[in-house]
Amino acid sequence: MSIPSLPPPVHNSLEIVRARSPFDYDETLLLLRSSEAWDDFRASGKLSKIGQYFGLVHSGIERVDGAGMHGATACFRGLLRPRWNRPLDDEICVYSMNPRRDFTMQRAADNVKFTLQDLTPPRSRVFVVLAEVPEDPSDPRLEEWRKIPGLEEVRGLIHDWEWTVPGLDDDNFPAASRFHEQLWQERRRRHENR
Amino acid sequence: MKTADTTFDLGEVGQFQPHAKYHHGLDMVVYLAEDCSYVSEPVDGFLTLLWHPYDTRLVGIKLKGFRYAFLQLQNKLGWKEGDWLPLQRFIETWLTNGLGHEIMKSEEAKHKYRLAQDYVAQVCLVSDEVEKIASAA
Repeated sequence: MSIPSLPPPVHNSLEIVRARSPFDYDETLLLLRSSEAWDDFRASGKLSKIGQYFGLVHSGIERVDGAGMHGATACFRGLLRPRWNRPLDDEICVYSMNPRRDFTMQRAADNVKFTLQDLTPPRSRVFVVLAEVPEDPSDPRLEEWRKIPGLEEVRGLIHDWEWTVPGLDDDNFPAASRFHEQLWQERRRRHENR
Repeated sequence: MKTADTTFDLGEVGQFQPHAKYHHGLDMVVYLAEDCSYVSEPVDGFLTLLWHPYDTRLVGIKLKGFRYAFLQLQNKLGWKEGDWLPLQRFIETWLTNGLGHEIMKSEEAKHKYRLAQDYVAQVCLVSDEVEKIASAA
């Protein structure tokens, strides 16, 4: 797997993830991992979710040969859950990726140390990351997410990640009909399609 | 299984137990019976099935837009503070109160709803979780 070129790291924290802006493919944003989701995954021992975060979502882990979420190949916005929970559903961005591995964590005997392990990914599936990214850079939610020192540049919140079924028309992506709109596909594909 | 040879100190991490959990951030209930990777298959705007990554078997379900559905059904369910909420009854009530009209038109969707209902036959959302939903409304 080739390693895509990345912008220099701007934050070393494991709870911060670099991703392309949903609104501008050429801009890189910092997204914060939701503490609600993470606390649940830790408390309930969901090692698969934790392993996927370190192996597939975060891009700064040594010896993991991927760009993480920054290597997403498409971005969609707006979950189609009519009548329910707007505006949240409108503002969820779904980043789509095609990793060649899956990950989990293995617990060491001390019950504190964990080792990242890679697994064969599910066949013909795509990996998606769901993040809440307000389009307005002065959105009040950002203040809440930036309360902790060092997080002043955060532009969104990562809620979840999972493998999902691809669309019938293109098995590289989830079906576009699941979302309000498709914001971008990776530049190479866009050029090929011109 | 290979290792990426990367070790993390994660502090205290619990032992996995199958359980249903409400996620406020995405307004959904997730029931996961196994700690494994899964493949999500959305059935509609309410139900998503979670399949084992290699085998043809369910490992969980998601109920999306849960708060809205709960508020619509709260009286019909007869739920009161301190009660646990059986997920099978919740889905059944959702389907039989006019809200499942569209679903019932599709044999495939009906089949998938049946799968989900059977899968969560013994699963409840504990009262603390339900109260979070009720109080967030």
